Amino acid sequence: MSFKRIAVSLLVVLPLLGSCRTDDSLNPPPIIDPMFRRYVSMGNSITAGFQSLGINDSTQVRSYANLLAMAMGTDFKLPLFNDHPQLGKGCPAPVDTNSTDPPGRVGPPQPTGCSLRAPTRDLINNVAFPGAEVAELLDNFADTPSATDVYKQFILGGRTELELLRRLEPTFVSVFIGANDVLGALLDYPSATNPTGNAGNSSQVTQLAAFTGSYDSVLDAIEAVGAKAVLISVPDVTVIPFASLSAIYYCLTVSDALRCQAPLPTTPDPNLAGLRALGRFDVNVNCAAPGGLQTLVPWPIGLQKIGTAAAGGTTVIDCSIDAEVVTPTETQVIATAVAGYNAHIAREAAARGFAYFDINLGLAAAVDNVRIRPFPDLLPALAGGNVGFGTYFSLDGFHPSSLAHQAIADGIADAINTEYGTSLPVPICGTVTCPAP
Amino acid sequence: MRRFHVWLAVGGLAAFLGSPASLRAQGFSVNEHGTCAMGRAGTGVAAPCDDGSAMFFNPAGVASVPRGRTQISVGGVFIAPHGDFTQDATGLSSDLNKKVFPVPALFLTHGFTDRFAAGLGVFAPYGLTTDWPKDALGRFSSFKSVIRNIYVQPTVAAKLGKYVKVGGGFDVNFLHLELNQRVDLAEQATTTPGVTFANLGIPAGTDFAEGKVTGSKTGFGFHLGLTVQPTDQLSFGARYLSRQRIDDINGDAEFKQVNTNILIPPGSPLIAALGVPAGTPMDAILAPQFQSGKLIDQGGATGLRLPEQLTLGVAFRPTDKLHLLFDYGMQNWEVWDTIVLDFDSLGQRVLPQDFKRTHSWRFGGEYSVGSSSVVRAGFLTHSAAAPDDNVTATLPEGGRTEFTVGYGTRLGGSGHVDLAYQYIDQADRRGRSREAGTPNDGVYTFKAHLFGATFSWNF
Repeated sequence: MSFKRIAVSLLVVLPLLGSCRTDDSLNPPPIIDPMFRRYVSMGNSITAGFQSLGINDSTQVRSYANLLAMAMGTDFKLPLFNDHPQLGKGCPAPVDTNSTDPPGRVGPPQPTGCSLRAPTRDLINNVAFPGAEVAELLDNFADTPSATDVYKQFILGGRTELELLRRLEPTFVSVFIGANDVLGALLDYPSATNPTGNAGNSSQVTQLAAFTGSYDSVLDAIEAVGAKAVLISVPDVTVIPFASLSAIYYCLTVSDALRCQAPLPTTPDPNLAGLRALGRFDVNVNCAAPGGLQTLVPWPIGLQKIGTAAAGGTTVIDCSIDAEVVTPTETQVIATAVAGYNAHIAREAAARGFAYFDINLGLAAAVDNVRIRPFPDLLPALAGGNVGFGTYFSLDGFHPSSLAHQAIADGIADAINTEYGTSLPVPICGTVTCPAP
Repeated sequence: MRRFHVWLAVGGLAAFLGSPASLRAQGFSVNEHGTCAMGRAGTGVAAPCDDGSAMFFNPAGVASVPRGRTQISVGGVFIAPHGDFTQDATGLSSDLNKKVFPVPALFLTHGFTDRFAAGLGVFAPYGLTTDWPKDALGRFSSFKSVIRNIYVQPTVAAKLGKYVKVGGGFDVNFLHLELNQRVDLAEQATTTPGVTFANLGIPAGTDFAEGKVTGSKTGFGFHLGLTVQPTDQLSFGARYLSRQRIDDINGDAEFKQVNTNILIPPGSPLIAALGVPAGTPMDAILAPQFQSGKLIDQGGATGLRLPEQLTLGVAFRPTDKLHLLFDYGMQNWEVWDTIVLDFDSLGQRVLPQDFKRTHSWRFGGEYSVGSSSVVRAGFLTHSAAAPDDNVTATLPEGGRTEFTVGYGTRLGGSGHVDLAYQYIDQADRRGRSREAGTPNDGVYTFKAHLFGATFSWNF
């Protein structure tokens, strides 16, 4: 071969050799499906990871949304409330004692109630904030001021959930919103900080037309960015252990074969019965079935009454006192609203090709005295312990526990797999390494 | 707390003063100053092209201009870059603006005697334009950077005996900078020590200011060259372009407010701290910073170092028609070790750069076709100047492989035209979209097509 040919060959071959370069470190992390490349979770305190009247980086990572992201294999940034030397940990820190007033909280006292956000140079994926009603996904000023507005600063930074969603250009979105559009009624019981409260206050229930209007605007925005989505139904707040049927209170304290019928517990609680025998605690017959099957007593009211009796006072649960109980009419307003919301959500999911997860099927199935107690375990509180609500609920009685978040995540993953043919692992925890519940 | 102690992310500003993004080559050096040489991968230190570009490739080559001949060469390269940055966490990406950038060059030579010639060259051996959209992911590092170094080089060259030529020039460098970046409110400090706006929930990537720095200065240096041609078939060459140290580049820093459109939400601790009602625009709170605070228009100063270049090469003619060339080049980008920025109001910021020496290997060849035309081809590869932790939107640089082809032909009796095409294939490289000190958060890609044309006239 002549020198000229060698030289010409080199001119051809060397460039080809030079272009043979690869770098595996340039590859992005594995994602189970491209649909999950950018996942944004919208919602309220449940999605944010709020438990036991508080939120910190421990509860945040146990949110169903974070577990779902782990199953997806996608990067998921949380607005973490980390340790701060002066401000403690959390916003506020979760309670570890729920029977005292004020409740005891994890960690050192927080002078301001809220520590700072951990700084992040990335946009957050979990844009949910505690206290959110559906209208507040669109407008931070849509609702009357409340204590949870502080999260509009610390989690959203003054943006709205929808604004943050648009900035991240998500490929997949979960929407779990609506509980606060009815829960406010349940939580409006009279207390030292809310002396004019009225449990079951129907004025705090969002009207169906307003709910659907806001909800559809959120879905329109999701469609506009081209994302797929899973919509989660509004929990039936009359099932959660925060409030129990007044008929149960009645039957636990009274042997009344006429009024105490299945499925209510028929065995009198010896301690409650004992209190009644002392003449210090009574449950009015107006709390019994049939009206008592639609009358709800918030656990703080029940605990306050029983506590007073245990301390030597005389108290009575009287279901004719509207402020202290959720009356049958008020219960019906809440139930009707939830049913209306969920019918709309299910219709929209079907119409838009989104996945739909009905959380209420799982809620109803879990009422079994272990996972969701139909009646809170109040008695430990009389000895300085905690009121218990079952393994699925945290110490406030209305936010899911870490275990429940795992179940919710599994249910949502199932719904997504069914709708989109994806292969999210179910159960998630075990397949991926979840934080211990 | 009405007056925020905003510490502007001058790191980013410094980044585009200090870590220029090359569209072209090692660091931000430019090697395409003659289309003839471009067609053969920039080789020519041992046998420069006969178009005046020897003033850049090897001043000694100017000595080849015959006595009494005057030559003017005017040419330019049009660069069409394509690049993007893809963020790891989100998969979101930003593309470089699709523009074509011209880089002109002008050379004038005259042979005074059989042994002595001189010339004047105007070219830009260092320069860049990096132009991203204003909403690009790397906008807080920079979204537009222009660094122009126009060298005017009077050159003299002489033949020393039969085999040796030497040449040298004095470089007057007209430097101009224009550097732009956005500033992220989330990164700024509040009056509470250790607390940033991000700690208060302000989302990352909240643009609230746009900074523009401009500056000009004249620098000086020199250029030396040597060729040795022991036979008609073989020649060797070497060139040395001196380092330039340009201090006290006084410029202007302009800042304009970018509306965040954030309203202070109900429940915000800022309501009590600032004494304003919920719903107050955050922009109204920040506005005084642009009127009497640290973000007023102000002066600034910095210094730049342009590295020395050393190139060694060999050229060989195995036949009358074929000419093969090989060049090795070194550029000492280690001079980019630290950048110091002094702003009148924002104070001083020192940024480590830690650039590395670069090395290039160039292979070129040309083949005569007929009596008046020549075809060219070449290949080159070189290493990157920017270290792994300083690959930025300003300088999304990496090692490159480049391919060239060219064609030259005579135009009538005294004219000549050269045309060339070059493709730049840069290896994808991890880099960061944020200011100095932040971790790499994505991958930069870069390719470019270059088209060159040079017209030469002999008188």
